[in-house]
Amino acid sequence: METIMKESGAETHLDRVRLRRREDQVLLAEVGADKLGVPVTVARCLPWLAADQFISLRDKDGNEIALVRDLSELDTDSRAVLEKELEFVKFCLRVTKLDQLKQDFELRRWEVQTHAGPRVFQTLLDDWPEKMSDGSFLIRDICGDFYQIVPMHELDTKSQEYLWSFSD
Amino acid sequence: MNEKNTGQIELNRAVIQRYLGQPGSLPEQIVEQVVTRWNGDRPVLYAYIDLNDELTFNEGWLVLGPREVLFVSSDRVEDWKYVSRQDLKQIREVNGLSCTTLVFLGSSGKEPLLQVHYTKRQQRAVENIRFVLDQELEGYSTSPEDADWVYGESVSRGVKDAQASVAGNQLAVIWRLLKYFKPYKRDVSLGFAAALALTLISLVPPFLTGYVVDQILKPVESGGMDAEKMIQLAFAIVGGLGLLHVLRELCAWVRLKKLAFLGENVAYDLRNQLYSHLQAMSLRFFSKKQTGSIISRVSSDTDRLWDFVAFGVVEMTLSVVMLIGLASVLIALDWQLGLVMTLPVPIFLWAYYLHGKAINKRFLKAWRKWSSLTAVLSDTIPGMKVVKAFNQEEREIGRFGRANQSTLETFHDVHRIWTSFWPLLMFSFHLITLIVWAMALPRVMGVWGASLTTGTFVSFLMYMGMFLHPLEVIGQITRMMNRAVSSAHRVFEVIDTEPHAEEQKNRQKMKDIRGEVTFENVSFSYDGVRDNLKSVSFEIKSGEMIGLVGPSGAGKTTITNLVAGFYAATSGRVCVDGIDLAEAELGSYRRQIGMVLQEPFLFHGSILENIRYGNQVAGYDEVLEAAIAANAHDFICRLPLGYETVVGERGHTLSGGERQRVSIARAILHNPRVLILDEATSNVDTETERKIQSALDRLIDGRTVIAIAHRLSTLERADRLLVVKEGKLVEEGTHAELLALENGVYRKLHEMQTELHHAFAV
Repeated sequence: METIMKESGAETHLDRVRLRRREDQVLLAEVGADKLGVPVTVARCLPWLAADQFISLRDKDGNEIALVRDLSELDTDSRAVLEKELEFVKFCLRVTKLDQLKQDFELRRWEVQTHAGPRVFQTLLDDWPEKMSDGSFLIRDICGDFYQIVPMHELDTKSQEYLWSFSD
Repeated sequence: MNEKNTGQIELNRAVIQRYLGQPGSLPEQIVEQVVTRWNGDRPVLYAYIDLNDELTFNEGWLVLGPREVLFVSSDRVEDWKYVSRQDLKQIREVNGLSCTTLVFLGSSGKEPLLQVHYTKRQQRAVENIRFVLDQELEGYSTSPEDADWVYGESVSRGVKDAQASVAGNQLAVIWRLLKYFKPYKRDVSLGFAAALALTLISLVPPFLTGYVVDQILKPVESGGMDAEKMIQLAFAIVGGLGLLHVLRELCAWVRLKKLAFLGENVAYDLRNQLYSHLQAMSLRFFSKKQTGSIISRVSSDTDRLWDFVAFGVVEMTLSVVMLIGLASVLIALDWQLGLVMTLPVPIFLWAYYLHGKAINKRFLKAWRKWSSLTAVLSDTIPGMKVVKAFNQEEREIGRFGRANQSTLETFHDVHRIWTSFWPLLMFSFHLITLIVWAMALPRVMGVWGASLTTGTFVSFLMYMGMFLHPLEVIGQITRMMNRAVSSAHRVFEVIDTEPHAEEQKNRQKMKDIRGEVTFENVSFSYDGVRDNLKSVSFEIKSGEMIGLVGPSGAGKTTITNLVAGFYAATSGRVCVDGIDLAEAELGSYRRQIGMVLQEPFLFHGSILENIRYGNQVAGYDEVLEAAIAANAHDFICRLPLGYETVVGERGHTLSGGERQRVSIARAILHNPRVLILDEATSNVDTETERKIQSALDRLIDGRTVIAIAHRLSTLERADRLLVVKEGKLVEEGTHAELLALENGVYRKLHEMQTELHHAFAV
């Protein structure tokens, strides 16, 4: 696999893309001989199926300036910078325990423990957790936050009971 | 701060604490400290910052003051970070999946002055702060509303949009619903009295049976009663029973009639109140709620409430009365046997409750599976052409089969639960009756314990049979109440929503306007955060035709919405003939404006009724003249029923071009002083466009016209063009003047369209 970069319609090789973080925390992509760098944002094409592959680097207008097919194709420093950025980009609240799951008027109330601490959130009654390929469950609350519930076998009995209706 | 705002702040605070488990407002100790530091000035805005640098939960606050921004975090209580607003040069937002970072930058290339992380839940509140600072950087000043109110509205909005009246109390809702009984007090009293009498009468036959056994049959068998007395008693009892049955059915009739009518009347009142209230609501309300949700409140929710009012309330009350009555009678007949029967009642109720919980859990799963099954259907049936084109029939059969199998298994599970529960419940109940038999028979036979007459025993057995029904009803009370309260919540939510300012009364009437439209520094935001219009100013003279041009999402339709008075400007003034629309009585104003939209909306009814919609007293000749002017007359005459043709819901029986011409005829008959044309000739073929365009040419004569058109060529007749981009008015002038502007937005748009036209022509 190799990373390609679009430059005036032409595809160029990965070794011409380097990433670094400026002092003001802006992520810069240096393309070819350019040493100034272009401020970029990172978008994952396959956020769940291939979280560390197919990373799209986009400029401030949203145009793709490079597609990183695999992190291993980048030089060590660029890779470290991108990995750090991805940590933030893919941040999702990981639910490790369900303390309570209740139905309220038109809403379902979740009281959970996440890796970031305890959390209370609400989902619409017809929004059900979606089972992911790794066995975890993904649900989005009414505010737009994503919660990834760990697979059934990693949950305690009480949590499993709460999740049972959504388990398969 | 007015009373309404105070009430809303309190409600928002309660919603945030109850539903989101975070503070409902900025802690008082922070307020006190910043007020001291800022010489008495209170926070302008604030937001809760729920993540720290390690991206774990944490209580932090971002507070915007008149001259500074403060960040305080619970994991660094000593470190209150103040940043001067003057030092800020740029604010940058970085978005993650469930986390956003806001970076406050000073000089270019230097380390950030401040950086905060928060979940999407806090996004609106933080964006408000960012908006004010961004505006300041661009040289605009803003005056946000009360900080507590803005924070509460921003954070609670997700919950409030998703749910009906929040933070409500079940009993309060039921009590409010019962108040709708007030106009029907007589019917309610009669219905309840009849239902109560019916319940009490049901308790009499078992007692009479026992009496017959002990006082007639036994003496007859033992020869202790003479024939004449026996016949007299028998007739009296049969007569009494007959009278009882007549009374019983009479009560049943009164109950059904009064309460069914009552339920229907209450639902009727609610529907009327709801619909009248809906008409008073602004478009802002309708843009927030889904059409289906509003319709179901007027239809199925009020219907569900009818059911609850007519039968639910009574059934529940009577079941409790019946159960208490039965328990009392049984204990009075024989306290030992009575206790054997009544003591297990709480256990039975508990079993019903647990069963309900277990079955609901399975129903939820079954409902999910059912939805997946129907999703396959709604995917494939409309897309059958694609399925066949890609030869995927086998795959789709497999997909449906798997979903069907999974649904079947879940429903089997549901059936397994209830088919096990009911026999088990009946067995337990019969076990108790068996205990009663075992305890009673030796006493009836006189071999053990205090004696028990055969008649009392028979009565007892009959009463026992009546125990199950009220238990069942009481077991379902929670579900019934929840459903009804939920519906009541949804209905009351609409009734309680106050019409927006633009719909309120006591404003200046506008008669015979000339049609001069002025925008004075108008800004507008649909969501209260992002500005869709930014300080837009222009003047339109009476009788002038203005073309609004710009890319999608530039703010063209927003301008026409403000001219029509559908929304009020967030700041600045929208004036017609010098009168601020914020002060004008919009009903009188709207009678003088007309609109022709891209998707013309016709109501179910005849073409005649649709053309007359804005002017119902217009004569037939006027209607025909309007239709002729709109190029609609010819196609209408070709329809078998002419102007009396019913167009069906939303006018679906007519083609797009025909609907548009009927809507133009409607606008012509309405004879507006200000006319808004919003993409009136889009989505139609060239020939139809030509017909519509010539109809429009006749319509616009002598009126103030504001036209939006995707095809710039349709705006050739315009006196002036206003070019809008990203919410700002960027260019203004005639077609020729704008084309002369090098690097002008209009010129670019025009060039793009010309190129496209040539490309298609080639």
